Amino acid sequence: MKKMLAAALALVMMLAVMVPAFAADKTIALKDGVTSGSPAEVIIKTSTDKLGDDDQPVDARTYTVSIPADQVIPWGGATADDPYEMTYQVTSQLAYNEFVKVSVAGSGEMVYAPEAGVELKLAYTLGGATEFTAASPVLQAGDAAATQTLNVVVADWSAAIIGEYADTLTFTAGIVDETGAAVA
Amino acid sequence: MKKLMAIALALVMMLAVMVPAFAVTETWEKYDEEGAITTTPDSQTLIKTSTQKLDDEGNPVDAAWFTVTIPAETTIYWGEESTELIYYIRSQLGPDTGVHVTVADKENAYTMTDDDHPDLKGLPYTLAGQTDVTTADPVLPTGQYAVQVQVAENDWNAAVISEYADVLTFSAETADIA
Repeated sequence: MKKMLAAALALVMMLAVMVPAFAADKTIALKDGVTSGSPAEVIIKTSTDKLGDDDQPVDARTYTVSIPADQVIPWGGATADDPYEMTYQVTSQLAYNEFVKVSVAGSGEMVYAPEAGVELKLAYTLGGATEFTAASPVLQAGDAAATQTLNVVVADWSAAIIGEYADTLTFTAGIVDETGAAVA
Repeated sequence: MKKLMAIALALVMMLAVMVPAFAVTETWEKYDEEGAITTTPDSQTLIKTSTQKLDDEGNPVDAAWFTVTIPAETTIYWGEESTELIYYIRSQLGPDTGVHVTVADKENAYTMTDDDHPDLKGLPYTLAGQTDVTTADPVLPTGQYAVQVQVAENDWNAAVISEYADVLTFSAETADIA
């Protein structure tokens, strides 16, 4: 028991005298008639962290996808010749070899339930920028690629009972590398 | 009669034992720098300091000194438009002499680069604050000076997030105080 305590005490004392190694300051000095250390070279370097609201460092990488509000398509207003269009915006500031990727998908059928137990369906095709990957880690609001366009086409309005058909479009975003593999 | 004779005899005897008092001869001698002795008219010896001190080996060396202390590395957090770099000057110099310090980009390009990804566009910056300083007092127990590294918001926003770096050079020398 005594030996164990002695060993533990020795270890604690060793840890107490360990001095952390920080980058040393640079010094220019005139002494005994001789100037040494001039010019001194010091490094300035950016961090990939920014300071958060509490002044703590946080990851500076960011991306934003602004999706459209709920859309109301006029009856007969989404055809192959005149698709219904809507846009979404993407901005990003990521690290080297990182790109924001956005996917948009719907079920392909808008549904209208005029009464309980009854579901009427209206098929549609979602086209345009359903799969978008930025070409650069940095995509700013004024860039042309920051605005992406989707379009909805209903093949056959004439066969449908007039009603409020609806579906949900789901937007998914993430970061990928140049090979398309997801980045953590 | 006898009394008069006695008094006169006593007076003569007193005069005979009086010792005449003459002025003492005073002589001052002074060693010169070569160690020789010469007569000097005054009795003053000068004491004065040298501007030299003795080094560890007993040799006279210039006593004037200064130090300029600078952090070896400064981190600039992403998006910070101004980051301060503080350096310190201490000195003990001769009259009307100060320490002149200048700060500049080593390559004079004022652009931070990512050497790991040379295809990335550099991040431009400017230096502000005390980049060219001459201290106002020969004796400075401790003086704190500051330089700001400034990166414009637009430049931050356009840059790929990475570690960009550059080298600043600090030069120091003595100079006349204006």
